[in-house]
Amino acid sequence: MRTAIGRTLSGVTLIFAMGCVQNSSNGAIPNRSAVEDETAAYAKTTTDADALSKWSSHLAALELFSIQDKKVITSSAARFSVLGNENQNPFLVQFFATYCPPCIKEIPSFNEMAKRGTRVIGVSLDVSNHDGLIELIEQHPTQYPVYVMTPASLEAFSQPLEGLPMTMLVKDKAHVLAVIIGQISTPELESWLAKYPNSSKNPSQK
Amino acid sequence: MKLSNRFVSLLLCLFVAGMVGGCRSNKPKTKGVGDTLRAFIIQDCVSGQKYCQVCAYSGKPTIMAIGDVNDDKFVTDLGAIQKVISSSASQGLTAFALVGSFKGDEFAKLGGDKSSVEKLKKVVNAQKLSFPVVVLPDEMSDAQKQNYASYSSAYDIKQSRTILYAGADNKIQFAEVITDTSSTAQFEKLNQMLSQK
Repeated sequence: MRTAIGRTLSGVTLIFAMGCVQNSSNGAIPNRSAVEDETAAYAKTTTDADALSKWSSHLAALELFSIQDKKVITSSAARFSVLGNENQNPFLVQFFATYCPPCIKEIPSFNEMAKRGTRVIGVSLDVSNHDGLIELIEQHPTQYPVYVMTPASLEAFSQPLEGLPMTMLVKDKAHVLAVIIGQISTPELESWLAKYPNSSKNPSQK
Repeated sequence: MKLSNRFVSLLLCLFVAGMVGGCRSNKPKTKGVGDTLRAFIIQDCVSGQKYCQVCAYSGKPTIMAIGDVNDDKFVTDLGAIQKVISSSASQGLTAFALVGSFKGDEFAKLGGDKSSVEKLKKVVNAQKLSFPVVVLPDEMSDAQKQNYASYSSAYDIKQSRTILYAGADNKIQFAEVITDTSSTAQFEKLNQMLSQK
């Protein structure tokens, strides 16, 4: 019941957000404070080359468990870099956690991007709450694959992390092009991706 | 027939209320070791910004201190927390202090008490705190109410000077009420826990 109301409100918020950011014309990320957003206080966009280089290293070293048949497969972990795009098109990586409400609110935006053909990968920080993560995915199905950090990866990743939700635009194996901290909407993702012309093809979709 | 309709309506209302209540009480309240820090909206007493502190510090080991605005010993604790933060900053440790008013074992928000907020600002400056001192906001938007648990429904903290420490996985590893006689040992225990990370 509450979930249904939450989804409806998220939709209303999204429509409101779309209305607010339509005036953005230069392809830059719209003024985030224009959107009702509990993450506005700490939201930021990183495009600094040095910072992005460090993020690329962190991302490449990230080890992830996959999810199959509603279970987190902890018997083996894969490096993030093996998930990279063969065709070098930029793709989106959504970092989230079950205890982060704005992360859950932005799932429909990533679903929308995935439906439109953009490759999206979800990375959960719920290293100690696999059951909660599975429950979340059941309640808020994603149109994109979700992985879970290994505990050791989270320990390493927590150092540079500056809040959730966090979205990365990545190309090749783990080359980070930009990082956004804070809740992001479909129009914001669209305008972001528009700056990178080859970013709209998901290898799994025609 | 009318009575019957009213009865059905009443039953429906009770059912819906039960569902909502059931959903809200689905998760046990956070109070100790093994629980998680749950997201709720706070207001920074210096900047006035409202946000989800737990989200802002996601993925980082975090200290959450809860205290009474009139508890001077809690102010001393904040200084001790600052020392812990300063010595463990390289590990990405973060902290925030939630200040309100304890009435018995109930934590209440300050409720528009501007003098208390001014007092907190002075504490932040005097102690040179690098972490935010926050209060529960007087007002929240409908979306915030919808998307976040209220502090009172998410936490069961009964005493001023309660310190919670959660690791990067958001699981609480340290939950103690600081006491006059044991404060040094308690902060030493917290330090040792952090150094073993």
